[in-house]
Amino acid sequence: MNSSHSIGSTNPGAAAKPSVGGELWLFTQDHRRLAWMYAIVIGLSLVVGTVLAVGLGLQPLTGRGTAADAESYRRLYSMHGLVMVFLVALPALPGIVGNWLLPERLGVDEMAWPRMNLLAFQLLLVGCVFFLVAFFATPLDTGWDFALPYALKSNSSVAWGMLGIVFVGASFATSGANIVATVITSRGNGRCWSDLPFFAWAMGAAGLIQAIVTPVLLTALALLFAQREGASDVFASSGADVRFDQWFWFWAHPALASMLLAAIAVIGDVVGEHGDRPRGASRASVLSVMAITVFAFAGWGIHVLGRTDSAACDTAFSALVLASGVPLIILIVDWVTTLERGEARATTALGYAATSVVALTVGGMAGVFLAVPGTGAHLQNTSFSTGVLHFLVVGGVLGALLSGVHQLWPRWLGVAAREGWGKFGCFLFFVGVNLAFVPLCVRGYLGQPRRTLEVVAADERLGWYAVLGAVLIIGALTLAAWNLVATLLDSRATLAKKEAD
Amino acid sequence: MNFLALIQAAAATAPAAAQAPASQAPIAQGTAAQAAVSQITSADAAEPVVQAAKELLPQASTFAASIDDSFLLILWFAVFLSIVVAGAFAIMVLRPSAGTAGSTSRALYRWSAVGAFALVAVFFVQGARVWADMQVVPRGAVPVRVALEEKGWSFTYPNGYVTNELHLPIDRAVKFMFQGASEPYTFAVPAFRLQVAVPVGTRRDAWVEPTLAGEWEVRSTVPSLRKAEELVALATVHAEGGYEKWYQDISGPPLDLPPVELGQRSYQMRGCTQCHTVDGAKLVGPTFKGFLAREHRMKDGSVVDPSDDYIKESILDPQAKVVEGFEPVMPSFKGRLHELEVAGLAAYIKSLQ
Ligand code: HEC
Repeated sequence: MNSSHSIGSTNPGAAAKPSVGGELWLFTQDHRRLAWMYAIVIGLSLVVGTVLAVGLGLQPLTGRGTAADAESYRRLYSMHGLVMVFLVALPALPGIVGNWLLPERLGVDEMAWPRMNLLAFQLLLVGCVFFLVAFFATPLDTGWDFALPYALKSNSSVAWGMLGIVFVGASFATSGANIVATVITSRGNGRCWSDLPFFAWAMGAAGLIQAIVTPVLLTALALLFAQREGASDVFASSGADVRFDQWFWFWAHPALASMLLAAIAVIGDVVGEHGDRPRGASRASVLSVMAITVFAFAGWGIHVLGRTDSAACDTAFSALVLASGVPLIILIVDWVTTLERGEARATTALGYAATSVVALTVGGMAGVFLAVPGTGAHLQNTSFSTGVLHFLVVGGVLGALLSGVHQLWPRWLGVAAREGWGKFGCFLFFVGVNLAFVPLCVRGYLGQPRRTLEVVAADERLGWYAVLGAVLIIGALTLAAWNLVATLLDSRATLAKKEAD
Repeated sequence: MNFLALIQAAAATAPAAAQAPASQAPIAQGTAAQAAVSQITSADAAEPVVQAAKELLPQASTFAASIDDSFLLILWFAVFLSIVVAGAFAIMVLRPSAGTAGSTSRALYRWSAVGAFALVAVFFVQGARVWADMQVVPRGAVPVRVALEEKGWSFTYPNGYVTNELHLPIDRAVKFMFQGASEPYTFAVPAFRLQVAVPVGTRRDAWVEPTLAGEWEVRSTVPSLRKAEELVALATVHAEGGYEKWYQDISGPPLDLPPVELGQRSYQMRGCTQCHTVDGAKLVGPTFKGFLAREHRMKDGSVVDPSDDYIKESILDPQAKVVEGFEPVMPSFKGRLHELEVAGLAAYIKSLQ
């Protein structure tokens, strides 16, 4: 590990930069404090989303058959998706790890636009409030992707949900632009592009995507809203469902890629610290990040596979999506060789990074099934696609978040975290992710439609495996949270002792 | 040994075997769970497991095998790659001595790029082959019109016969012509590895060649507010010759017969005999004997003229007018009889003295 970044070199309690005394945290422009604020909001959202997920897993095992069961199931998966996608998966890495680490890795004091940084956080909070309204009014039942035509007819709180997304989306775009600006303006003083650390490249790419595509989502939702209110008929004629999905995935596919790029940023950073390349970047890895970014914009068509009249388009999109696997493999080679040349120790952070890489590999390979037209048509709309998404988002993104957080703790608090518990948690997480999401894929191949309460394929016991997997993941998260709190208390105690001395 | 079958079997039978009495397992001793494990690991005893897996997801069309092949190819690489990646990370932290500083050779990047590219190219070609095959409907395929309507699935055969159960020949191509509705739907038959998405208000064509007789589930997988059972239909793949016989039955008598004769054959073939006689006996419905001479008094007290129109209406919309003294139980034959047949039936019924 780089000596200038050894444990305890910075103490966040007294931020490196002079801060206004008594400043309200809610109005702080300090990137480290904002990282903490994000951590709190995202952590709470994660708890809510997880509780909903458990309900979602248990519902088919306990109640099904009545219309009320079906309705509660629809609401569960919709709110689970909404919370997890918009309040956890998308903001987590840029908000928490990005805010903390980006200025530091770039060697600057602050983000380029500290006030916009605060604004982005506040917008997220406002979005949360609207989600809460949607939650307590009539829980959304359209799915997080507002699939047509049901989203047009649903009489749940669609408008509140959309309003929430408008603010959350504005937050993403703002913070994405801020990240890009920070990366660009950090150069100078003789530093040039080639001096940028890997973290900045990948996080910058994630921010760039967010800044560019979020307006597409907001446009799609605005059109949907207009259609619902009878003010437009873009989504009235034949093929409307396909048209909406094209709009939607023109945002969602790159957005997913941006989550993965943020995960890649964290993995690359943790691996670099453990290997021989703290904060460096190889040319191959930078090119790979660029390639992933470019391919991200060309992947939306795979989500309407077989639904347009053009088999040629299907084939072209399939090829483009498949090609985006190549840079991912190069990145993995880069990471392994980086570790190979260094003196890597087995730490919790590296464990979670490896878990994330494996989940990205499994999820990426499973994504191949969906991208290849033959198997893709058979698997569309099945729980296989749900399984793939979860491998990428839970295994990949959440794994990277846990990796980043474990890496940062010691530095945050100036106290070492409990490594034994951390590693045990990491083990639980690894097993849990596979146990929870492989059954979804198996069932999907056997023909289980997604978002369907009835178990139509394979043994119900697969459902219990998934629940068990979820329990393990929750166990890992609880361990991590407990570890964080315990370390926090330790650091307070150490601080108090120092003061007493 | 089919790897997919093994996975499915593990999914389907491991828990089942754990429950099953030991006598059901091929191994006499040990717990049922042990039996399940040895069932999967020992090649000889694996037969029933594979059987169970096949029952869960049989390969019932010509596409099924090629799609499973693509699936297995990718699956093997997925497993292999995941193990390699996990292994590589593990080795890097567990190896005793530290590595040598320096930079990764360009050749390594280059070759991994080439390798990765070759890999996805193979996946692509494999999958695209089946896809291309799926796009071209073979000549002479049996055409069936398909729609998912308010009341459920409807399948229309070339002779105009409409049913909510899909009947298919074995080893013969069938062309499906889908009609979009106000809700999008998919036509998914996992046993065929075929799923066709039909967006709102559009038309789609697809085809399949069933290879395994049996009853397979058809389902729309698009999340919908409708009851799950409304989205499901049964596809019966008839054994050799069975489809032709079924088709002849639903097709009814040859349409070029003279009307009265056509009507008589139709009366016999279409199940009217279950409820109507021609000898004056009363069954569930009134007899047809002396149809013209008789008075036709309805439940509401009105008397109708025994005209062609009335007979046609009775056949196509039986509940429009219900004969006094009878229950409104006659099924509608709308969409199930050719126009000429209906006309023939009317002629035949009127001809009975
Ligand atoms: C399930 C029993 C059933 C079957 C099968 C059935 N019917 Fe009927 N049918 C009835 C009953 C009961 C009535 C009287 C009540 C009514 O008018 O609906 C009736 C009435 C009629 C009448 C009017 C009779 C009258 O005296 O006015 C005609 C004509 C008729 N059926 C024709 C047919 C023909 C042709 C077929 C075969 C294609 C057929 N039915 C099959 C039960 C049946």
